[in-house]
Amino acid sequence: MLQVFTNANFRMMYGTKWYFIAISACAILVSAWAMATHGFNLGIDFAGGTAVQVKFLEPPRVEELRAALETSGLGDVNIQKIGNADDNEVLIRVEQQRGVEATAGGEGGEISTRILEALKTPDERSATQAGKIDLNMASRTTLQEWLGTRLPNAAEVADAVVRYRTEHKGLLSSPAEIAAIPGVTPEAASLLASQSIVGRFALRSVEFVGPTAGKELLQNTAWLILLSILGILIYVWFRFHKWMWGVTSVIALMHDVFIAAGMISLTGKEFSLTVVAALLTILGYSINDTIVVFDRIRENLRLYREHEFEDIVNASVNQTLSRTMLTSLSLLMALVALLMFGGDKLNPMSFCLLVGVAFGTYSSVFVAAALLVVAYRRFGLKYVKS
Amino acid sequence: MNLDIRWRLLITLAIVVVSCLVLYPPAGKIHLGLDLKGGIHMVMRVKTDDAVRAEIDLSQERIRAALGEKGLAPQRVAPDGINALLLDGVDPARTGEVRDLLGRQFPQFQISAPGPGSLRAQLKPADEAGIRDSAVRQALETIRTRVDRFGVAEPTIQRQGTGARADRILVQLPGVEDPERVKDLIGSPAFLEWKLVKVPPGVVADQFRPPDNAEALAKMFGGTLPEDVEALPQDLVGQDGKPLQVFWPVTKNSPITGNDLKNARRDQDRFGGPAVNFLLTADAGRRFQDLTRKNQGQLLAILLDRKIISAPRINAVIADSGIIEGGNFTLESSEDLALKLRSGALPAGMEVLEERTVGPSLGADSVRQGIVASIIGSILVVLFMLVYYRMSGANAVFALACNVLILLSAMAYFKSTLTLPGIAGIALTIGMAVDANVLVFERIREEMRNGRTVKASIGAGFEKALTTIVDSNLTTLIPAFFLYAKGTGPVRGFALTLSVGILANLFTAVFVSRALFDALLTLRPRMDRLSI
Repeated sequence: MLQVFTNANFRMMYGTKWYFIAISACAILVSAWAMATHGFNLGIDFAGGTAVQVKFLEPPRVEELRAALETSGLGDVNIQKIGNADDNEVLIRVEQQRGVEATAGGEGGEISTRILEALKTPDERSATQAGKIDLNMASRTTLQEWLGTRLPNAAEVADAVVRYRTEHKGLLSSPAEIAAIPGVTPEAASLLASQSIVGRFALRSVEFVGPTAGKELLQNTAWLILLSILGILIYVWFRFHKWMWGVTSVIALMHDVFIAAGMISLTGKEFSLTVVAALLTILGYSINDTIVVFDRIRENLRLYREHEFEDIVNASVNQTLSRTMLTSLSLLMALVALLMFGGDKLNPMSFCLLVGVAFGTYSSVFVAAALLVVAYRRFGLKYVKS
Repeated sequence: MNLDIRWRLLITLAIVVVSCLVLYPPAGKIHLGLDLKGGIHMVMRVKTDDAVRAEIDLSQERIRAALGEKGLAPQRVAPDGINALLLDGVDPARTGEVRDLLGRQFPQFQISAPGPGSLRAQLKPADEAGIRDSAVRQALETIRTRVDRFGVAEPTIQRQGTGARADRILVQLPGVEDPERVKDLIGSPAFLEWKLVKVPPGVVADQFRPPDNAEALAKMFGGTLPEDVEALPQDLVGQDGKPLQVFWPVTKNSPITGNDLKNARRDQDRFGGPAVNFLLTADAGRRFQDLTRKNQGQLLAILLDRKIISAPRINAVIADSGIIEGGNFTLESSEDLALKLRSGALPAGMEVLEERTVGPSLGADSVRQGIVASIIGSILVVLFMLVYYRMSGANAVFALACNVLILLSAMAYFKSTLTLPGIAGIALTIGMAVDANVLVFERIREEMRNGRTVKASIGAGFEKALTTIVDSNLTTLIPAFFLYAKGTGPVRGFALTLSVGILANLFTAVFVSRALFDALLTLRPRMDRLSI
């Protein structure tokens, strides 16, 4: 039988507990410092603005792009390479344009168009202005309508081109490729060869979040976390018949969430909606861990009424240690896979979960249980049998 | 749960089979979110203030006219804030009469007297709320009509938000990638008007050339425009290819508007270029006929959202149909204009709060990455369980597989949408799902260490772990519940996946896994060693 801890008997709830409380205090201080000095790299969800993700045929030269965008008068432009080096992808972010309201079809909505126009080479710009279609930028609808007046089988050709483009990471590499696309008739190919261009980039995504939405989201988020903590506090309080159990578990929770948020701040990873989801998941996971330990303490309190409270807590923590480690390990493995293979979008979320799970495990053992011991000594509380 | 073991195995089998059936074939069954499928997600706000202001503008005219008829006209009737009118210079002796009349004819207003000789008419809160609400509903209908004609499969157009935020409209168009065109199409007011052009005195209509600024135009009229004439712009492209704006003198009132339209469709002008053909209602047709008969040889401006598209000369009497040409139309823009005209004008302006467009190639990449990460994560977890718990690990792996199967089929059954964070939710569920099994297995091991028989250990292990499993899963559900209730878009997808995963987990770990152990015990009742 493989075992992590055979009859573990670490003395964690006596003098040593103060070391762990001190470690936690340090981690909290570091997090607070990070949040106070670094703040958060607020993602577009919260900060608002426009973000355009573009994929190039050739490795993009960021300096050239920056120069091109600066002349278009968009103000502060942030360009960032994302993905693997051979993905040739950049994320272009423009802050909220001051005084420009995002009226549908109005000024504010055109920022993404302005970015895309600025990225085109002069040749591409004049070709598209002359009515040629850019096969790397055209959507299925646009392509079909454009072909509609010129070809009888416009829908099929548009479908074929877009499907082929999707399967090839969104980019056609040269006009020569068009004729080889299955489903493109020779007639369509010759029309496209003379009347279309293959631009040097393709649009991967556009995100725009207005100022109102961001502010509301931030408030909403604060509410979500507060409500969840309150809900958990009430649940634990009722389940264990003692407010102190609820309070200590909630302190342990806030500890985990605070540190996870602190690490996001420290590493400068983007604070987005999915990170909020991660923080809330940490709440749920960390309480899960604490409950397992608390449940065992409660059970042992009934069994060994004559023992000292510290002894019971210490024994309970030791008895559940194997389970705590195993569960965390399996979860950490899933999270590492998510972090390594899940792509850029999920990276901040996976990272936040990883930190949260690690601290959640630690806190359920060392923080929640230790605080419970401290509280019992300080307040002379007695466990009331349910 | 002391059901006969055969029944329990049967139930387990039934659930597996039903889940497989619900899920088969998997391709069309799991609804992919826009972040995975590609498409446009937009949240727009209807500027309901516009609708309230329009009501106030309308009432301003009506109140002035109604009071004028009775000889009670105040010196000034002007908007006061967005939802009220201020009447100044009311004859103090006849204030009571004015109040009576307003109360009778304009019951939507609440009248107060801020000072002598002045009255304030404010929209009643219920009426104001009604105006705002109907503006949103009308906008919703207009957008729906416009989107339907755009030919998108499975569009989502819904009203969102509650209370003061009930002015939100969510539009989701899977597979569409042109955010600008869509926004322009669904967001532009599309208010069409026909106005007569009043050329300056001494100028022949045919020879009139509109100047490129409003002052120059006023000078042609000797300094100021006549009372009933206003200067409105037309966007052109100059000879040098640069955009150019010219100003036309047109009548303030519009004898015909977009509300008089019966239909509009894309058409061709005399030279085969794109144009828009329109058909008026019978009543408007008669008015149009009158207008064109009286004004032959004059210019008639066609305006869209207070900008002139073209100002053709009236050559013949036109009854109920006509053509709009010369608006620098492309095929697309003429089709879009026809569509906007058909769907009617928006009652109020729209503001885009949020817009997300994901191209299909990015969506496909996200799906691939998410699935790869989930598979690698599961393989690691499975290997770990098999190495650590051996045969019992296989039991846990089966429970895990059931868990994922139930999760996916529940998503298919409830038609919930799988989003990118949702995939992360599945990966997370896989990691968390073994928790309940571990709790039980560790208990069984403990019991066996204390010298109990295999059978007793399994029974005690499950019973003792039960409260803990229920407690820990329920507490995890609390934040997931709030995430679902208050979260938006992808976060909701994540919360849903997580919640369903937790519930499925509760079932597989307590029921399925136990059934497997009991089946083993039934097969070999005298078993004295358990591979755990």
